[in-house]
Amino acid sequence: MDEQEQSDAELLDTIRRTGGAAELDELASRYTGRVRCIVYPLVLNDADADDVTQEAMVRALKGLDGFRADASFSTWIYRVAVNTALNFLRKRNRRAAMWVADEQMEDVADLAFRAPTGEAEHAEIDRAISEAMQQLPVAQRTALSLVAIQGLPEKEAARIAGCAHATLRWRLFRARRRLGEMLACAGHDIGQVGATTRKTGPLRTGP
Amino acid sequence: MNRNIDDALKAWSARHAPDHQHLRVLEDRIAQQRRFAAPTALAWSLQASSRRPRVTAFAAGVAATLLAVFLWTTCTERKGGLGRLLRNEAAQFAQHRAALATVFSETERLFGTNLQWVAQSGRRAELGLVDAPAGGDEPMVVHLSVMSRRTGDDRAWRCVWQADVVARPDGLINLAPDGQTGNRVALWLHRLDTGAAFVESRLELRQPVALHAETSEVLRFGASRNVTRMRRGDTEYLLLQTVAPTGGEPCSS
Repeated sequence: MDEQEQSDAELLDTIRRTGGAAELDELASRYTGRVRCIVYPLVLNDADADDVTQEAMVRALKGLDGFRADASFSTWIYRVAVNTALNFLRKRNRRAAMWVADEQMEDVADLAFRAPTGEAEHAEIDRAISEAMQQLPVAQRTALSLVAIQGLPEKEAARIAGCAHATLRWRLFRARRRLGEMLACAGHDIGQVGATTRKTGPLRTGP
Repeated sequence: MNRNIDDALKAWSARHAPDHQHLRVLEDRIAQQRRFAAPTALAWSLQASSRRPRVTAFAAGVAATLLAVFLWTTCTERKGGLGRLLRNEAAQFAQHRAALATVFSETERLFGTNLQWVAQSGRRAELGLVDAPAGGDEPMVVHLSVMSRRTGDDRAWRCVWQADVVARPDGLINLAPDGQTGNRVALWLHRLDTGAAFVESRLELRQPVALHAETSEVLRFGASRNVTRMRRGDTEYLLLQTVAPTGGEPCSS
C-alpha cells in the first residue's frame, strides 16, 4: 500500500514538475478499472458506469491541482468518483430508471420457474443482487461498494463518502441487513454457510 | 453473515467488472477527452513520399501548433439541446480554424503542392501526399465529431470521437486515424460558389464506438450540421460536420 501510494506520489510529482503525459497515462491506467468498480454498484448499469468513470477520471486528471496531500491520492480520486456518480444519479431521469427497474424485475420473476444449476445459478444470484442493490438507497450502496466490495477501511470509506465514520458504519449495517433480507426473500439465503442458493416457493419444497 | 454478504457482493462485482478489452476502450475514451496538455506523440503516415527525413525535424513545430488545436477540440460535455450543441461546435470551429490552417500552411512549406491533406485525431496526425502536384486551390478545414448520449434522459451530449482534416478540395482523402484501432475515414470535398461545400464522408469506426456512416451533404461554411443521427440500444449518436476554407471568407456561425 505504501509502495503504491509512494508510486502515486512520484507520478504526481513528475506531473507537476514536467506535465508528464506518460505519468498521466499511467495514473489513468492504474485507476480507471478501480474507479469503474467503485461506481458500478452506485449506478448499476454498464454504460452509465463507463460514462461516469470517464467523467470522473477526466475531472480528476484535469483537476490534479486540487489534490492536497492531506489524504492519499486514491482516497481523493475515489471521492471524485463517488461525487461524480452521485451527481449523475441526481440528474438521471426517473422515468428511465423506472423502466430499467421494471425490466430487471421481470427477469428476476422469471427465474423463479427455472431450476438453478451451475452458471444459471450464478446468473440467478447475480440478478437477485442487482435487483436488491437497486432497492437500496444510494448512500448505502456507496458504503457497500467502498467497504464490502473494495475492502477499504471504514474510516477511509467515510472520507470518500463525505460522512462521519459512525454514519458510514450505520449505513453499512443497514445495507448488509436489508440486502440479506431481500436476497432471502428472493430465495437466496446468503446468511447460510457460504453463498449458496436455497430456493423456496410454491414449486419447491423448503429445506 | 456479513462475510457471506460481502463475498457474494465481491463475486457480483467481479462479474460486472470490465474485461481487458473493455478497459482499454474506456482508457482510450478518457485519454481522448483528457488532452491534458500532454506532449503530442505524432505518428506520421506518409502516403506517397520520399521526403521522410525532414519530417522529424519539422514534427516539433507542427506538434506545438497541433497542441493548441487540441485544446479547443477537448471533448467536454456539452450541455443543452441540439441547437446549442451546433452553435457551440461552430463557435469553437471558428475560433480555431486559423490554427488548423497554420498547420497546413506550415506543412506545405515543406512539401509544397505535393501536400494534399493534413489530419489529426486523438494524438495522431497524418499527412496525405501525392506524387503529382495538387492544384493550388485553397484548402478547406473539416471538423468531424461523433457525439453520444443515453436515450430516455436529459443528459448532455458527450463527444466520443473527433477528427480534423485540412485538405485541398476534389481529392479523395483516406485516413486511418487513431493508430491501430482499425478506424477508417474517407472524405471528398468540393467547393461550391455559394459559400458552401459538398462533403462526402464514410466513417467506419471501431473504437471508442463501433459506428458506420456514409453521408453526402452540402454544408454552409462555418455552420456546424448534424449529418447523421443513429441509435443503438439505448444510446443515441450524432455525426456533426463543420467545413470552411482555411482563410478569406468569413464563417457564418
